[in-house]
Amino acid sequence: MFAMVKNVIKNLFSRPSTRLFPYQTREFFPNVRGSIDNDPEVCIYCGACQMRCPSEAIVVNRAEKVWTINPYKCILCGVCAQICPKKSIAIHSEYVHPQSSKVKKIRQKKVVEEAQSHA
Amino acid sequence: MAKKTILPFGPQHPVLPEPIQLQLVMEDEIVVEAIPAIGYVHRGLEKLTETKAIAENIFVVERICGICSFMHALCYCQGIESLMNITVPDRSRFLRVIWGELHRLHSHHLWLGLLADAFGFESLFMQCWRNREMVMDIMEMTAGSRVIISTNALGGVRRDIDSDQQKFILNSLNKLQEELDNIKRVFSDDYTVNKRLVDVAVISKEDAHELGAVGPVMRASGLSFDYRTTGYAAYNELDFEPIVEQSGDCYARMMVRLRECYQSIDIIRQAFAKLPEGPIASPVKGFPSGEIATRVEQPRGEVLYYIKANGTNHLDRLRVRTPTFANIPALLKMVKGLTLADIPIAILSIDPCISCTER
Ligand code: SF4
Ligand code: SF4
Repeated sequence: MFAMVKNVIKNLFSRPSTRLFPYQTREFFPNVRGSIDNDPEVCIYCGACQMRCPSEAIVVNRAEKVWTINPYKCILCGVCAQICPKKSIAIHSEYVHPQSSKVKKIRQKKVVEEAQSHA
Repeated sequence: MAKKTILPFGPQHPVLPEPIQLQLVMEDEIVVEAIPAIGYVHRGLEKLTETKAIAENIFVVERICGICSFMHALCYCQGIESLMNITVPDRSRFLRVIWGELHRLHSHHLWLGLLADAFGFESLFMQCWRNREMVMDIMEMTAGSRVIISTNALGGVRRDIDSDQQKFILNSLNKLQEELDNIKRVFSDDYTVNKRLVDVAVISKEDAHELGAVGPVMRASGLSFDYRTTGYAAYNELDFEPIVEQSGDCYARMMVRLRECYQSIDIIRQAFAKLPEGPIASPVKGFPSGEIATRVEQPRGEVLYYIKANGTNHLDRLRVRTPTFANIPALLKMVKGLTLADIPIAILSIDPCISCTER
């Protein structure tokens, strides 16, 4: 009984133990695997990441220099970033936010004009 | 004699985190028999491993169970490594122990919370899960994600733990141990908790042995066996004893897990003290062939992997026997003679992980 009174008093005057969420957000640790992105200018569109991705989330179109990832298929294992020969894949700690449709992330190399008309 | 009634318990029940059905044959309030029905969350992961490449399978087996994902990957990697005669660097063996014990810690905390929730002690449940958050933070910091940490690789581990991180981990573990002391008092001495757990769902030493119980269920019945004592990974260089309780009831199973939390903290400290320098992974070339059965002690007991490889990048067969599956016969035995009100606690006391069981 006495222990309970002590706890009640302590809890009355202590700060809440939960975070006041929208005002106070949690910091991620560095190196958290949250989402995958690619730098289209560094990437050489070799296709190694597509080959090694265990969940088949990446599609590389070598001819048109388009790199597409389906972030809802990606399991964030980090293999693509590990094996990329150009290290053009970056892992951000920001998570993929909920969306109403499954939008793919497309990264395309800026091409010179003739190539564009060809595409 | 009273009329027999069959009462379906599950697959959806507030106390069950995952779907399993027990058809309880009741005589008034007493259960005389239980007929299990599983198969609600079968995902076909064993078949999937036959189509994926051998290194990719690590990510598949990790998803067999979210709570002990690291141990599944560890068991798989150890199997493939011994098929290919790969020697794993010393440092990665110790890192594997550390992550393995962290997984045991968070799994046991999760279970303690669920148990508290099952007997209606909400604040204790929150306390356990708040403590678990410290372990999850360690996981996030060292591995980059909280649950499925994907740090195992063939030939070693993928991430290292540096000295700053070690300090953070050891500090968190000290804090965790203090918090554990607090909740241990409640779990072991509280009148209400004892009322719900002591002498409920007893399984004798002989029955536990005969029905092939594993893990904490077996150790709570007085059988001293822990697969870690065989010394896989770096366990042979660490000092620990299997934790055994004698009474075989829900209270004993709870105490085994509670004491294993302390044991895990101790093992992690020992592993950090002995952590050797060096590389964290050895190179892997070629493909395995032959067949092998490997075992690892998970939080819920012993998991068994049977791997059949044919020298290509795909396996012929991967078979997983998870600890919950081995504990179901013991569960069916222990619910006999219980009143209906004790059934949720009895089921929870084996720490059922159904998606593990059905894969
Ligand atoms: S592996 Fe790297 S360079 Fe090759 S296609 Fe993928 S992102 Fe581009
Ligand atoms: S993180 Fe893994 S699953 Fe996601 S795109 Fe890269 S390789 Fe594929």
